[in-house]
Amino acid sequence: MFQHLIVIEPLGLLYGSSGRFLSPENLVGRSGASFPPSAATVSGLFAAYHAQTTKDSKTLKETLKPLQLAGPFWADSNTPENFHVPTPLHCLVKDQRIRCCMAWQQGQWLTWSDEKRQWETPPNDKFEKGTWVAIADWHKLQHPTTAKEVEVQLAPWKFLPHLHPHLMEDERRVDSDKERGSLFLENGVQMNPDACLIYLSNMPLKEGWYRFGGEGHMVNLRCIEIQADYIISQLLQAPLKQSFALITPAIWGSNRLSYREPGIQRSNGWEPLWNAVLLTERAMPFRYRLGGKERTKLLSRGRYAVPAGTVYITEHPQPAWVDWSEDWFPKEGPSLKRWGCGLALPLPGAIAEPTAETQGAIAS
Amino acid sequence: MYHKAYGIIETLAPLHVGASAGEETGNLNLIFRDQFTQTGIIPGSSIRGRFRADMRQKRQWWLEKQLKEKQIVIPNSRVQTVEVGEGEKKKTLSRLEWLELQAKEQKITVPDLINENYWYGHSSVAGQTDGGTTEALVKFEYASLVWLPVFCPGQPIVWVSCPRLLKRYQQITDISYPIPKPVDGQYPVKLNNHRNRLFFNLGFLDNLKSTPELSAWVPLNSRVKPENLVVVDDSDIATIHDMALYRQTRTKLEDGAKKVENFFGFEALPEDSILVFPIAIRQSVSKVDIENKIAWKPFKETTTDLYLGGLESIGCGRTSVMLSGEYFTATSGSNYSQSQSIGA
Repeated sequence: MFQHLIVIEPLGLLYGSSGRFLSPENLVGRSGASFPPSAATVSGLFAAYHAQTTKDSKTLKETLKPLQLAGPFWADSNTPENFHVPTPLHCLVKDQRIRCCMAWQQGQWLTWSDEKRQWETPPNDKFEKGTWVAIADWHKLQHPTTAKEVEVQLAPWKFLPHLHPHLMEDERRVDSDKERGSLFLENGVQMNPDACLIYLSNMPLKEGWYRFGGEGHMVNLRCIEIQADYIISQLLQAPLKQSFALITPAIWGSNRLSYREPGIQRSNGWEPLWNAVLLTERAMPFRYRLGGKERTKLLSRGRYAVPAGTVYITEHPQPAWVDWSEDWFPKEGPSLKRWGCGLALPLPGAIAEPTAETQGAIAS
Repeated sequence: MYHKAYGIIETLAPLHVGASAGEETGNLNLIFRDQFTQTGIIPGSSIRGRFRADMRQKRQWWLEKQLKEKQIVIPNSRVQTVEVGEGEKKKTLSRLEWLELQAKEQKITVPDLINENYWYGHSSVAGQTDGGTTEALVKFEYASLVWLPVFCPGQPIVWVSCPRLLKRYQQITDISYPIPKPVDGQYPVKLNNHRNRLFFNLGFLDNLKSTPELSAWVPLNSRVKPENLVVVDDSDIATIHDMALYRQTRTKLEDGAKKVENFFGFEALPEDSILVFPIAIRQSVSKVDIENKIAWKPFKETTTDLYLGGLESIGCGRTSVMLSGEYFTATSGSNYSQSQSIGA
């Protein structure tokens, strides 16, 4: 269970890694900028910290065994407990406002029209992607009527491509003779100075300056204990029931194949566990450095994750994420539950409640 | 974990960090700016490059001294390249490469204290695993403004800042005072002659109120006058910054005739600006010089003059850099001056 908030405040720029695959939208320009760093990066930070104080690798392994993290999220530096999570995909956002919410109603995703007093197909329009909502507003999101009051936020960071010219040793001129090229373009990211990155953790970490994401990039790290009255601790304990949304990317399946929900490998093939209905986006690549005996760790197998914000409607009620079985998660070294894969929060409003009125509207 | 330290830059001349070589032919050479406050910054890589170049020179002097002691004939100091080998094996080496080669033959090893590759990371070398790079033990992040001097005719020069810039200063230096904020249109300030209004080219600040606590936000030994400080709103700093920048239009004349070939302008941070940058030093680096664990001390004193940025030939870039913070407070003492004598 998560007991700490890891608060990361950059001391300068951060690095927007490229990790995306080439896609039709991504053929030109800043190909595949990926930010903020995943929970796996924070996991590496824990490992690096404990490696300094632990003598042998066996003790280190034991220390890190129970580690569990989740993220990335971000918050206003003054209110880290009210951090922002990805907006569930059933919310249709325009100009930083939730215009309407879709709900699963008799086999299709529909929106409720107050004017016409009936369920109708969602508007054919373009809506904003990649927005965030404050965790304190999660209870409002759970019901389509109050969801419209929720203020949606844009990410508080800006990409700042940054050219590093290699100068000649004895002259202040770009060294253009270098075979490897004299210019290096870094995909830098600058966070709003009033914002910080947030990760959930079950282990504390000593406060101080750390290196985070990119060689020269330093951050100030703080660790805050999650109090019982924080909204997140209440939400994490609530059973998910039949509808919920992911706030972190989810990986399911075997090491070779990625699926969109957890399942069981039987002799006659893979069997889904939830028989779920999904509202999702294109899968996102998910990989990190892990293992290997050399100083530079090997890159893990490239996996596809169900993106954060995905809404699930399952056949049977589900327990809270913390009570999910470890068996549901694939293992690559440790179980992928360590990196908070598929952290889900309840979202009852994603299933339309069949009232007499709505039933009638559907029937007509 | 890293040791905490920081540097304070005080500009002694206009400071231009932005356009790299080759961009001089553009119309206006802008400086690097922070994306959120739109105020000038110096990238961490530029600061690192400056520190690296400084130590590289120390290493070169040290090598020359050692070789001279071994009776090796060193080329004239004006010679920048040396030819070695005969026939097909003939190649041109830079002066430093030649010295390194000689030192290797004489089995002279450079002490870590003045080895820039040890502190700031080894750059990649062709033909080695992973390019033979090493990770820097000392890391720099970008320098941001703390106080920016603004000159308006007929008024005292005022140093301007905003809560966001002061917040970063606080984060880096661990200063314990609460961040001063302009409240209800009142700008914390203490101006000479008790004026309560300050005119800028594009407007004026009203309702100025005396705030003696602001002097706590001035770095020690800087030339900033603590009685002439103004803290403006985060949304106003960009406009005031734009007004305060040093700008110059320059021309390139044709070689044979007094005729303009090319116009270009550049902007720079004005002199007497104060900037701050964090320095993170690997925990494995000891604070004091004991048993081969060497403390990082790039200069003889904690304050030194350094040239940063470009356009040095027309008088830009001279700064005074002061190193401070947790890491340095424990290192003052004889160890430092003793070890530095190697590099001097």
